[in-house]
Amino acid sequence: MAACIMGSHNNTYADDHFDIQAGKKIYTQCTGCHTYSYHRTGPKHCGLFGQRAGSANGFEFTQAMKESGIIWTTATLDKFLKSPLEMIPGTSMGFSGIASRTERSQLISFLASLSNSNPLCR
Amino acid sequence: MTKETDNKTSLNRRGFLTSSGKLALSGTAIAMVGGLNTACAGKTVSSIQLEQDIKILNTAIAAEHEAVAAYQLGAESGLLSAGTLKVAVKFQGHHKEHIDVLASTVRKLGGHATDAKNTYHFPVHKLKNESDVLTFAAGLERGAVSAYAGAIPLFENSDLAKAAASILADEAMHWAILRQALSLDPVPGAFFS
Repeated sequence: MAACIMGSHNNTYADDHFDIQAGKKIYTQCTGCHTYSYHRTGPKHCGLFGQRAGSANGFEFTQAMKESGIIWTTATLDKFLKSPLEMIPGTSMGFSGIASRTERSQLISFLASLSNSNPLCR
Repeated sequence: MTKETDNKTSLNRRGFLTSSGKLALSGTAIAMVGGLNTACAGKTVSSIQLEQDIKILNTAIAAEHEAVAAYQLGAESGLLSAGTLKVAVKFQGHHKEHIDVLASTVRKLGGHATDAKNTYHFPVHKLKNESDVLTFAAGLERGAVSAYAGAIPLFENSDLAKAAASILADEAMHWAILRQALSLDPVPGAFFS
């Protein structure tokens, strides 16, 4: 799985499917504040990929997030999930981060699957 | 004032929580506060760290408000048996106590505690029976345990870490009891992830 890091889009379908399923399990760690299709304490994750950080309608982001200038991609999410506060000091995401590169990669694969056409997002 | 001095706030950690006579704290919280930490007394903390701690606490408060609202929804759903309703109301009371302690701490740190939202988005259409309500509540409690587990390493202040760990333990108990009520293994593993 280490080979998948940062490059899930080059994987085979089977690898992608495995990563997405593994990532969905890891996502339970996010469910204290987030869910897929609607805002909670944290913003929803459907349609996150390619979105500018702090721009989702209907959620009150911190100034730090809004001014970060970040576009959510595999690379930026990997950096953010490793240590949210290091990447965006002032974010209200009080989460220490995911140390495992493999777990980050799997979680990002799952987040990437949450396009607005995903049944989880309807 | 030097830049360094300007950027540091002397924080007497005994002071901000031990004047707890003014706070409506639970026995556990009082015990927690009572032990508050001589080890950290007089230590300085950067204003940036202080601001960060307040943000983390407020995120926790927001999640606790959501839990209170969720239990209210469950209690008013008419789907819970009398025994389950009693437990749900008790758990809701715990979340209210968490808010009281966390909000008091935020104020002591000089911040403004997050208020409850006027409305919460819950998957009401999926709640058809008692089991659905318990599953929903168990999911929230499990998420809360994860949230506290992810936040605790960020606190520079060991008192805050201790308080968060105490709340985490309570929410883990809620999760286990709800799983038991759903005929699931209440403690599915030796470690939580």
